[in-house]
Amino acid sequence: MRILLIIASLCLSSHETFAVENTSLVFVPTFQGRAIQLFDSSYILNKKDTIRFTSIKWYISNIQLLDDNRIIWSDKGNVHLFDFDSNKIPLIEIPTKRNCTTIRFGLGVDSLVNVSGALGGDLDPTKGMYWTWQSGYINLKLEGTSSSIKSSKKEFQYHIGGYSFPYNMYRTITLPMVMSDKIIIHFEIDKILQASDITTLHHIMSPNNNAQTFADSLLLSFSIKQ
Amino acid sequence: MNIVRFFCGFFLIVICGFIQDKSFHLTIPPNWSLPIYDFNKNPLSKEKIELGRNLFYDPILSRNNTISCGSCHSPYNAFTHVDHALSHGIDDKIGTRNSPALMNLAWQPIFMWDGAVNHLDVQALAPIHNPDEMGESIESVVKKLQNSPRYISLFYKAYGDSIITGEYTLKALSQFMLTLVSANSKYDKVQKHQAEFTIQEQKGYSLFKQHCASCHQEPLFTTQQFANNGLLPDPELRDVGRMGITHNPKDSLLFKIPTLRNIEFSYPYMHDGRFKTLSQVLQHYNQGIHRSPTLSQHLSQPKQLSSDEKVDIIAFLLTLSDREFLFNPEFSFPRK
Ligand code: HEC
Ligand code: HEC
Repeated sequence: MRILLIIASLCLSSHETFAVENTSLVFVPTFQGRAIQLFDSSYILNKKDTIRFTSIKWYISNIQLLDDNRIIWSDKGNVHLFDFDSNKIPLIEIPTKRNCTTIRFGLGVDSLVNVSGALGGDLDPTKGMYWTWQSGYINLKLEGTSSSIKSSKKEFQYHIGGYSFPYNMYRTITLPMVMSDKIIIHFEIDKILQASDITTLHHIMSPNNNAQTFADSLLLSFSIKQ
Repeated sequence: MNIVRFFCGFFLIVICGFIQDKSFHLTIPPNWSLPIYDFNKNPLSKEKIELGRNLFYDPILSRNNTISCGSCHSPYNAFTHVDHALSHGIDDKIGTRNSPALMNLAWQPIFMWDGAVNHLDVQALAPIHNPDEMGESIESVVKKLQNSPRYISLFYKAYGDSIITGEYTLKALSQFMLTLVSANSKYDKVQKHQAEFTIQEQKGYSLFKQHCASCHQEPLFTTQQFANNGLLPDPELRDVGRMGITHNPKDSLLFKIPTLRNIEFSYPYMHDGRFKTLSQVLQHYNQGIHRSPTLSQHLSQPKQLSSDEKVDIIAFLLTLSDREFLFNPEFSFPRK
């Protein structure tokens, strides 16, 4: 018993001595370089369409740090919800690996998570990121209004998700990165909107070809500001 | 010293007894495959099952507290909505499909007539959010539960936590549904040599194996796949079945092959409840097959069953009724 106690106290104390240096990782949704404010209608797309955002929510998962092609750290299995609507923007702590050259992460949740039944935390279905009539998580929710949309409500609603072939919307993004105390990643929403015509395609609510095009545009809409 | 050891041992046994009492194991019927449901991720316990049972029969899951899961899945009808071809939900709204009987769900890999749901845990989200069924949202259900002293105590007993989450709510519902195992019909007793078929039932069984078992495979009476069994599409409902989910034209008019256990009690039949009786179903397989490009090859040849043969098959189907399951007090409305 005494030996057990000694081992236990050793375990506890050794834990503290190996404190790791951490870097915080921040994601900021931007529009032409400016941080987006919800309900602000001063964003203009293609010189003509005014845009106002009412909801921006997305998942980031499977973050990895790489030294060239070698994975030096990964938080595999962890999924973070960025809920811009309720100001719940997690600050992600990653270890300060000086030899890191590249960061990789997934936008959305991978198919394994999608077939794992009811999950908790950021993946709890009460977070409003789960489809209900058909199983699967929504990787990205982007909603708002635009003056160029002809319908009476002028709304756009993009719910991008789907995990099974051929409509797998999970996208892996790889960016070159120099390690520092704080890494800010811009999520360039204007680039996504430019990839399709908002006046004709203003609703994507299920996994289909339009969602596929939309998801592909995500590949080019992240950049690191250092 | 010995006495001390004895007491230690004794206490350990008592403690083990308590621990064992809490967990609950599903008995796997002889000759059945292992369940598909991953019990490691949601280990059964009496308290969680009881919580799930309370939730299943509680209209608190609907917007105006009028409809429970049990409204459309009644225990005395193998957990389906008896008498209604299409299920009836909130504000008397009529759905677009017949509610399936619920049983042996631990062995089922995919849910709904079109396979829209990929895991039992997330099944409940569909009716809760469907405006024609319960018209609610899981967010608001969790809030309502969190305001109910009765549920706070039931969740505490089950999860040892004062907070109620969507995950706990859904997993508890799964727990109750997983216990709905039907494996003690006359058919099962015959397999275990505890009963014998009548001559007519035996004939029906042989015909069944010849004509029906390719899709309604024993012992679950389904291959768990999708098939087009030749129903003429309803021009109003325009239900394309599995293709609605996969967008693959090969899946047009394919529906989940349902189990036939307790079929005597789960009328009306088919995804749209178009047949009221088993003889209508047999009539369909015999003469009513509608030919279309996705029709199953198992039904491409006319069956040419005589009237006697049809009656024999029905006699066999009635041996799949499991009264112990249908009238199990553990499955019915909980006493509060
Ligand atoms: C308004 C009636 C209605 C209510 C209320 C309802 N269901 Fe259902 N249920 C249905 C119908 C109809 C289907 C089939 C729907 C389909 O295939 O599109 C179904 C399908 C299911 C299935 C899939 C069965 C299978 O074999 O694929 C399960 C499990 C289920 N319901 C459980 C529940 C639970 C749990 C609740 C309560 C949260 C509930 N149902 C509430 C009508 C209802
Ligand atoms: C090609 C595969 C196939 C074969 C062969 C087949 N069935 Fe079916 N059966 C199905 C499918 C698929 C459904 C559900 C169809 C739907 O609702 O759209 C079904 C539904 C049923 C139902 C209704 C079940 C319910 O819960 O509503 C009964 C009863 C039934 N079959 C009996 C039989 C009998 C008896 C035979 C043999 C004469 C048979 N089936 C042969 C595929 C098949």
